[in-house]
Amino acid sequence: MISGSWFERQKNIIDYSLQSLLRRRSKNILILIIFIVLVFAVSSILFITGSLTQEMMITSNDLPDITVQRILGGRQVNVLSSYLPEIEKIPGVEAVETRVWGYFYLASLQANFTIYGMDLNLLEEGEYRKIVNWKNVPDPAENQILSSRPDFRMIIGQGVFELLKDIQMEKAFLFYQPTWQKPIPFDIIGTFKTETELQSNDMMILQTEGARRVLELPPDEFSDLVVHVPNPEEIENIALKIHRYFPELRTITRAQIQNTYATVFNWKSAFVLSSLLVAIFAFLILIWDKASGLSPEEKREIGILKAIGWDTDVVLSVKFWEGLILSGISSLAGILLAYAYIYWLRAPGLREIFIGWSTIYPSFKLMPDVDPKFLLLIITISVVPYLAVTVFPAWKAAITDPDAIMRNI
Amino acid sequence: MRYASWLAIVMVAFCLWSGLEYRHFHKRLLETEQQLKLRRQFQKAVGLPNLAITSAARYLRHYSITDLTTPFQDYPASLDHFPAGFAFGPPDYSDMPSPIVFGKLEK
Repeated sequence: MISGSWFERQKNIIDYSLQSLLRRRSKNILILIIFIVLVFAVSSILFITGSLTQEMMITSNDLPDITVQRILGGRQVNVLSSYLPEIEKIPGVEAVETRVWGYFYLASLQANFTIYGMDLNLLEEGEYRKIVNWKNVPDPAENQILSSRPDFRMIIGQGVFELLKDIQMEKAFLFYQPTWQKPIPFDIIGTFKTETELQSNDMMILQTEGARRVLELPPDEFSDLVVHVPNPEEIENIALKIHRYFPELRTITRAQIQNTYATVFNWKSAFVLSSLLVAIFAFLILIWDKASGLSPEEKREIGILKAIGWDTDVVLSVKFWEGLILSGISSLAGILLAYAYIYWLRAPGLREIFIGWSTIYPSFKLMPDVDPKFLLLIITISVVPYLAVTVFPAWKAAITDPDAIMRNI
Repeated sequence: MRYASWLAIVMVAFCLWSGLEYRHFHKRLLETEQQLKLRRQFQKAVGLPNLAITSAARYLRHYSITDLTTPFQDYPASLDHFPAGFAFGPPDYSDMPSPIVFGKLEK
C-alpha cells in the first residue's frame, strides 16, 4: 500500500486518514462544529472591534489639537469667556475657538441627538460643501419668513433625517422643552452624506445662536474650548501649562483621544474579555479531552497497523493528517464565516451590543480590518496545539509493543 | 472517487470562497479610500471625536472627552447601566501628563 513517489505516498496516507475520520463520523463532526464555532466567535469579535477602532483612527489626525473643559465638582460645566484671553496669551497658541454643543433628548422617539453649533455659512464654502446634500435651501426672493431667520437653520445626519421623516418633520423641526413658553422651529437645509454616517449619523448641526437657544446656554459661556497649536511638539506642554494655570480646566490632547481610541475595545473591555475567556476555556476542554488519551479502539487500530508491518512514522503521518485536516478546515471555515458575518451581513446580533438602547445608529457598513498577523495567530493557536495533542498520544501508542496494545494491557 | 480527491474539491471550494471575500475586501478598501476625504472634511468642520454607533448615553457617544467620573463610577471596568457600556473598555488615562505641583504656578 505504502509505495511509489512521496506525493503518491502522502495521497494514500490522506486517503487512509479520511477513512479513519469518517469511521468515527459523529465524534469528528461534533469536534468540527465546536472548532468552527470557536474560531468564528473569536474572529468575529476581533474583526468588529478592529474595524471600529480603525474607523475611529482613520480621521483622528483631523481632531482638534487640545480640547479644554471646565470641571467643577467632578462634572463638566460651561467654560466662561474670561478664560479665552488668558489662554490665547500662552506662547505657541495660534487661536482659541469656542464651541457650543450638547445633547437634545426627544422623549417621544426616545432619541438622543447631538447638537453642535457652528457657522453654517462655513459649510457652504469650498471643500466643506461636498459633505452635505443641500436641499430646500430657503430662497430669499421666494420665502421672506425663512430667510429672515438665518439663526434657525440646521443640517442633520442621515440617521436623524430618517427618524424625523417618520414624524413628518424632515423639512423643519420643532425643538421643545416643557419649560419653554413656545417651541423653536428650525429649517433643515441639508443632510450629511451617507459616507460620513459613522460620524454624522446622530448629529444636528445648528447655527451657533440657534444652538445656544436650544441648549439654553447663557451668553458668555461655552460648552468647551478648542486650542490650535501649530507646532505638534508643543501641544503636550501647552496642555500642561493650561492645566497648571487653571487647575479647574481639564485638557485633552489629540494624542490622548487617539490613545482612548486604541484602547476602547481592547482586552479590558468586558465584551472582548468575556468572549475570549469563554472561547479559550471551551478550546482547552476540547484539547484536554483529546490529550487525555486515545480510546481503546484507536489504540487497537494502531496496534494492528504496527502488527501488519506499518512503520511508526507512517502511523504518525496518518494521525498528523487527521489532525491537520480537521483543524485546518475548521479554522479556515471559522475565519471565512466570520468575515462574511461581519462584513457581508453587517453583524446582526453582534451590532446590537454596540448600539445598546440608542434609537439612532448607522448601517454598520464597516471598513474591513483583516490583519494577516492576526490570521496567522488564530491558525497557530488553533491548529498547532490540536496537532500536538493528536500526534502525541498516537506516538505513545505506536512505540509500545503491538501485542501489548492489542491485548489491551 | 478517492477520498483524497474529495478533500481536493473541498480545498478548491475554500480557495474560491477566500477569493470572493478577498475581492470584497479589496472593493471595500477602495470605497473607504474615496469616503475618506469626505469624512476628514467632516471631522475638520465638526471637531467632536468618536463614532456615532451608540447615542444611548453621552459618555458612550463621546467616550474620549467625557467627564472623568461619569462612566465606570464605582470602579474601573465596572459594568454600567447601558447595554452598550458592556462593549467599551474604561478610558486609559495612564499617560496623561500630571506632574505633582503644589499651589498655583506663577505665569
